Amino acid sequence: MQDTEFKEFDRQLRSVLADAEVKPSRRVWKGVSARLAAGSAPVASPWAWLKWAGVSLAAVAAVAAGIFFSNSTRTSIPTINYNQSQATMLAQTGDAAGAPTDVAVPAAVPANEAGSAAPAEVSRTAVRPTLPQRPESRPVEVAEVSGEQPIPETVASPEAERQQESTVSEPGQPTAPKARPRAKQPVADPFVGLEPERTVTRPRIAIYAQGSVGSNDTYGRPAPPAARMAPGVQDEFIDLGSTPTFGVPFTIGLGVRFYVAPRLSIGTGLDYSLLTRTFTGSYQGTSGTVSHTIQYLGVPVRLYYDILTSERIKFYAYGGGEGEFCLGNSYRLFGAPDIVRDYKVNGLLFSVGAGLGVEFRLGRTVGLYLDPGVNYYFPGNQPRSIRTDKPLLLNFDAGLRFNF
Amino acid sequence: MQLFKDKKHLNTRETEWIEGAKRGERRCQKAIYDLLSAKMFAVCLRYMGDRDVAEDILQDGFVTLFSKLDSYSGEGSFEGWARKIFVNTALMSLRKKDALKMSEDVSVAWNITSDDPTAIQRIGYTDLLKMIAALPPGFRTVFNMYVIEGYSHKEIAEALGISETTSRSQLQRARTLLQTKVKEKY
Repeated sequence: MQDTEFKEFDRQLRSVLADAEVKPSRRVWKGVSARLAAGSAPVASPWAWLKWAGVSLAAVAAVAAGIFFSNSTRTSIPTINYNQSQATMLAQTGDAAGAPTDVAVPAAVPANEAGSAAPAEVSRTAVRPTLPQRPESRPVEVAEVSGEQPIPETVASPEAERQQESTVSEPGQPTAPKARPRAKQPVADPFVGLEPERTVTRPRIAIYAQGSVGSNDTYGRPAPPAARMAPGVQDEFIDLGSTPTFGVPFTIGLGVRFYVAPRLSIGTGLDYSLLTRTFTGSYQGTSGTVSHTIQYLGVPVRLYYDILTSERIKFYAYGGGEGEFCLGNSYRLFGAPDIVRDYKVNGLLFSVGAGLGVEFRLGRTVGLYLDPGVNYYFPGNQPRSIRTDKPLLLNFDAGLRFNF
Repeated sequence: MQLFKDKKHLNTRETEWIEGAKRGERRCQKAIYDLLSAKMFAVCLRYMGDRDVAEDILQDGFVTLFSKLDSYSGEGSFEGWARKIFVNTALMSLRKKDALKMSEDVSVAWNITSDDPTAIQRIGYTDLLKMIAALPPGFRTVFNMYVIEGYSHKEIAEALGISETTSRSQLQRARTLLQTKVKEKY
């Protein structure tokens, strides 16, 4: 009884719905038309890579601006040579041990010479007037800025202390009156919080962690005669000839960089790349949208040449090559159910590349770098990807570099 | 709108449109779109339940249709061939969204039957589409595939990755819910 009723119910539903028509909005045809013109699947903007590049550049610019603005106070005054000042202080107090808390601060600052009350804490600007009067400090400051000569972080040798003492005691130079022995009292060290200015030494080794995006603009460009599918796949997944949509290629990596000469370094590491492609294809008679994903593990080798180096920023040029092994080559045809097939790819994908880079020093050892460049890929027998369709690709590497 | 029902209904004009669309002529593609879009949109609405989502499916389906037009040999109903594309596109989307979670609970009473079997005839398809759209995705999908498209429970089970029992239970619950809605309206 129930079955009969349901059958009647179904029949009536079918009869009502058989000729159901609902007019869609005009945006549907606009979308269909646009996609037919550009490719089969929803397409990323051909300038999507530019968006990524813009985001990267904006981030770098923001960080750079933050660095420079946050250090504007420090850079507006003459560079303080902590070691020099400390040596002077030690010489004045005669404290060879150099414990900062034992330094009699008032004896070292000109404010005291004028008879003012000894401040327990001295600002950096309070120290400022004394420094230009110390000619011996100038060469060291220049060396610091230029970064050519590393200096020791602390003055430990008695000879150095003696040299400092004799220098500051020259006639005509303002010197603090010697007050030895001076009762030691715990006073604030005026240089507490003032980090020793790190000289721009060239790190011998740098370790980097990076992410990278590349361009994916292939519209209107025919594929090269390289394999359009993975070897042996042609008989199974068939590309129906629609224009494929390539995802933005993405790479992450870790590596190390060694200096082999004052300006020349060599870098290598391990990169993981993810390439995606969407196309209309068929597999054993079933047609639909196919998602193709390729994963590569690569070893890059690059030469870097430092063009300009300052305390906070470094410009360099680089060039090199990379060999990449295909870790995964997977096709998914969306259907009910999805058809997923993985194929092995033999051989390596080789590429060469070059570019200019900039590194912003975020700290004593950490730098944020951006390496825009151009890569050329040799497709070989690799499966079709953005790298085989457009061997010449713009690339933006960005990452952190730890210098030791 | 009865065009494309089968080959015998394909007149010269429609055949030219298909051939032109195969060559990528936008004018012919637009003509086919104009003829099929309203009917296929109703199909998409039945499966997706949401107008915006259904329009996305309609768009995807037409792109697939035009890209696969070469595989249409001219034998059989063009509309039926096209409808399969839209149904498959809708099913793919539902699967990707993981919207086809089926309830195994079959304890709901199925004894609700319409007191007035003809009530449904007084309901226009607009209201009926709304009622179907309001069904849970699992119910709606099985109901559409079985009642409207004519798939068997075995085919539905294979297509959706569920058991035939689940397919049956989903169908019954969908029917029950629909009948309830019809009774509420009339």
